[in-house]
Amino acid sequence: MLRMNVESALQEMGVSDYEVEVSDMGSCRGKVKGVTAFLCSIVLAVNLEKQIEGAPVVGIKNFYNKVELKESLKPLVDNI
Amino acid sequence: MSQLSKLLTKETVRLKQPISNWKEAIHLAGKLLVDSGDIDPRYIDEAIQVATDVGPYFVVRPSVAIAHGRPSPLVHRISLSMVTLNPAIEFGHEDNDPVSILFLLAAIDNYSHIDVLEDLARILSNDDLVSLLINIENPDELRDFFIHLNS
Repeated sequence: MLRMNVESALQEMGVSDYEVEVSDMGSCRGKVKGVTAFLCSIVLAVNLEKQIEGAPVVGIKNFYNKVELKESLKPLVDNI
Repeated sequence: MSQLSKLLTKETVRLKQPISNWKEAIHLAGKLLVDSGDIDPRYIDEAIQVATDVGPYFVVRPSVAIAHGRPSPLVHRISLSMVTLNPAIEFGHEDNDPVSILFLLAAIDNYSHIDVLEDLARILSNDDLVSLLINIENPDELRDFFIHLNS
């Protein structure tokens, strides 16, 4: 459900070249290469940060709030 | 909304339930799907286990949780139940507690429930619709809610 809302936020931001992949917590560690960022529920962010090196972890409070999603995605998009 | 109004029926919805904790809430939501023949009872244990192991990440927005297990043979068909909670209860999510609406989603794979999620997103991205849904008292009102959404 987060993927769907992230894709729709990216489209509204005018970003067309993206790929959003779903992963479970345990598999993120092996997927850092080529990843811009890991997005997850705010309650998992601290835990995931401990496991991940080399890409930022962004915690999301409300998966359905386009304003929050766009604000969280903006620095990532600007950095590319 | 056609998917939602098909899945959320008298059998799979309970409104304004007084329930003491989140595990019981998931249990009730699961029992509705077991009684409808949609899932094996073990899917309920799995949904509770995932929540216990990983945490309340499935409280996806203020007041709303979408519990689920992994897609598995324990799921006989794509199904969804909804329990509204009165009073609202704590799931342990600092930002989005207390929860007033619990959905239990049962999926058979990673993609065929996407249109259900899209229907849900239409409601969950709108605070007014979420408030309306929280306050629905009976199945007739729920039917009107869907008719209003579909019109």
